[in-house]
Amino acid sequence: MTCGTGLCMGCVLPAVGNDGITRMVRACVDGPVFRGDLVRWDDVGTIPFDALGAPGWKPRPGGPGAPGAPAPPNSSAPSTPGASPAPGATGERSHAG
Amino acid sequence: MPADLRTRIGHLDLPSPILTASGCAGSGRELAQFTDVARIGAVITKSVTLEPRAGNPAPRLAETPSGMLSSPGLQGPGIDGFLQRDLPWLLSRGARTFVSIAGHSAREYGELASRLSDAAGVTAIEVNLGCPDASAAGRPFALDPAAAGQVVAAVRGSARYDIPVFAKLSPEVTDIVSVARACVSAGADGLSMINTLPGMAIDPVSLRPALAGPAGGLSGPAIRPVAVRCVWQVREALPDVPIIGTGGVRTGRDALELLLAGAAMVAVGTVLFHDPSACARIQRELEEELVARGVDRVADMVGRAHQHSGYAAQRHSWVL
Repeated sequence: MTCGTGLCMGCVLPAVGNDGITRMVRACVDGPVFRGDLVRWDDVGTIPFDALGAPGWKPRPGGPGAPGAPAPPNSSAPSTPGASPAPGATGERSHAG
Repeated sequence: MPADLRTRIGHLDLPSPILTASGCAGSGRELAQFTDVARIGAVITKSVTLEPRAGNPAPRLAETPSGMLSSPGLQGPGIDGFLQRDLPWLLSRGARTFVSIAGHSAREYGELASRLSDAAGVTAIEVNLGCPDASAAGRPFALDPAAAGQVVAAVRGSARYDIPVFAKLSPEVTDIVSVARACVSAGADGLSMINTLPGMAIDPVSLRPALAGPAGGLSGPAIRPVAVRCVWQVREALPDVPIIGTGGVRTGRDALELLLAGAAMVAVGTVLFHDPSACARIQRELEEELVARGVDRVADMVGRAHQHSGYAAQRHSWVL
């Protein structure tokens, strides 16, 4: 139905990256295979409140966005500035097969 | 002999008048798998916002007769991510980049423009006036000449003097010329038209709106005649203002139509979703159309349809 090349942003689903941040990733280019435990299945078709750039999202120190924001309690994973926008895909490839 | 596609707008010098329309070329990387971004006239980026945005819920897209509805909701990395990753990449590939910006207040637009002015690789700024105005109950800036003018003035006031500012207009207005005049009076160096038309589709199986939005922007060949009309009207009223024509362009002949109506550049969008290499093809087709008509330079075609030929004038007076 849609582009299949990463342009149209139609095939997004929420997936948690290795840094603990939920992003709306594109199934076509960031996938198509994702680690099942990183996909927020119950939230597919929605924008989770705490997804990157969603209304409830707060930037973390050192994370994407403005520095100086308080870290949420579950932020054990290190977040890297300029991290890949395709965390599910990188996580998947290192664990695939 | 090949026709000359070079396009000069003020001090801008583009190898071709064919651009990618905002929101249809991703960050440029996606397109680069299929086409050389340096050979496109310029890449108009997805609209950049101050903060990262997750966008709208899915489904975001629906097919309609000769077009599509979309409401991705400006999903993107925000200005920090854009300046760190996307803009340097486009610069490294030799692309000319028109950065589209979007915000909820004139202040946000101004801040985006000043952030871009410090960065290398910004060829021009396109002001996406299709965003809801927080101070006007969410009415898009483009629907009100005064609101559009305020945003353009804020951008022109903050942007570096040598970065041209283009205002992107919506066709969803009674009088597009009045919005165009307001933007030019506020300092816009050029205009870009048209944005998508708001539309909606309902799924007969689920009995629910097809988009989560539930409305979306209609694009594709279905809106091309609207684009031609808007470009024509604005060119007629403001003949010296350069226009980026956008709306349903699929072929070189479609691009020629917008040029004839008065566009100096033509941005292609929806076609990229099924043919990501369309820009190169449309450039080739446009050149063939020019050669077939014995035209040496594409610049000679800009606004050509406004010139009265003897025959047309004669026929017009006879009909009246």
